[in-house]
Amino acid sequence: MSKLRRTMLYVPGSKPSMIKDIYIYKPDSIMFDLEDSVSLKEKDSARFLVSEALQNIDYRGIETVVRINGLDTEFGIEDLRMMVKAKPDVIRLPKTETAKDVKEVEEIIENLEKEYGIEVGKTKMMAAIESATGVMNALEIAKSSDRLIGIAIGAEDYVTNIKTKRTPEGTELLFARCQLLNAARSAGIAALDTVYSDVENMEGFRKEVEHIKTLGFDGKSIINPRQIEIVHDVFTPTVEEYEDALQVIAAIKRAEQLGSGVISLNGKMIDKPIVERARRVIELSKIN
Amino acid sequence: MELLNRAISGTMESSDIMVEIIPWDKDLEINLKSDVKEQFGKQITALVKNIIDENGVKNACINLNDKGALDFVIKARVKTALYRSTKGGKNE
Repeated sequence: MSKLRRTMLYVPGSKPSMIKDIYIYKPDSIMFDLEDSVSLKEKDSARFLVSEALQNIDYRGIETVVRINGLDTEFGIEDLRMMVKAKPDVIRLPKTETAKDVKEVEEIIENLEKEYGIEVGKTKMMAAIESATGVMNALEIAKSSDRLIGIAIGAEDYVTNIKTKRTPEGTELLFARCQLLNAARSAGIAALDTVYSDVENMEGFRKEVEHIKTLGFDGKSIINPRQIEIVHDVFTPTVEEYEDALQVIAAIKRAEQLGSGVISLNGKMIDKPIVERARRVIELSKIN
Repeated sequence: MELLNRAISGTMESSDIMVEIIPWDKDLEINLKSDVKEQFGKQITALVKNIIDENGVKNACINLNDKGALDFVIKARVKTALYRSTKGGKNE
C-alpha cells in the first residue's frame, strides 16, 4: 500500500531540543519548518540545524519533510540549496498558487541534484495550498510534477484570503477541503489537512480529525505530539470494520473458486470498490 | 575562509550551545564553558576544532557556552557562526 501519512508533525527548524528527539513520538512524517515558525534573523541558523539533523540523526524510517520559504522571499533559493544536499525525503512548498510554482522549484531541485551527484528525482515534493487562487488551481497543481507526493491545505492564510475565519464546524473550509481532496485523488497523490491550533481542545481536535477522515483525507499536519495518538486512533479501523473486511475478502475468494460472476455477502452485492475498501481496511489494521 | 567580523550563533537554552567567533591575529584559541566539561570537554573542543580546520580558519578566538548540545547541534552552531562571520556581522 502507499505510504501512511496520517500525521505530519511540525517541528520548528530553530529548536535543537525539539529536533533532537521528535522521532520518539512516532509520527508518520516529521516536517522541519524553515518558514513561519522561524524568525527572520534565525533563517540561516535553522537551515544549518535542519541540515545537520538530517545528515546525522537516524529518524528510524520516519519520513522527513522540510517546509522551505517561498521562492518569492530572499530565503527560498538558499533553503533549497542546503536542503536538497541534506537529502530529506520531501521538500514542502508553501503558498502554492499555480502549476508553474511547482515546476519552478522542481527545476531548481533537479539542477541541485545533478550538482550534488544525487539521483535525479530522489527529492520528492509536496505543495501547500493556502489561497483562493491555489484552491481553484488545485488540480493543475496536483498534476504538475511526478515528484509530488501530496498536496496540503493551509487554512489560516486561506480563510484570511477568502475574508472569513475558522469555526469549530469548519463550514468555511468545506469547499477548499473537497476541492483539494478531489484534485489529489484525481492525480493519485496524498491529501493532507491543515493544522488544528488549539492544542488544549482535544475534543474539538478529534471531531475535526473524524470530519477530515470522512471527507477522504490521508491525514493531517499537526503541531503537538499530543495530537498524534488521536489521529492514529481515528484512522485505525475498528474491530467491526476489520471483521467485515475479512468477510468481504473471504466472500470474494469463495466466489472466485466457484467461478461465480456475482458475489454477495449477507444479502448485499459485493463489487470492486467494496473489495478495494476492504483490502485498505485490512492493510491499515495490520499496520496499526 | 576569511572571517570579517565577530559573530554569534545559538542560544542558552537546554540542548543548545552558544558559539562566539572573534577574528584576531593570534593562533586559534577555543574556550569552553560546559556543565559536562569534565566528561565531554575534549570531544566538544575536538569537534569544533575539526570544523574550524575544515574551513581553513587559523586565526580566531572561539568561545563556547554549552548547554548539553548534541554533536549535530554543535556542528550547526559553529557553521552558522562561521557563515555569519563572513557575511557582515548578522546577529551580532
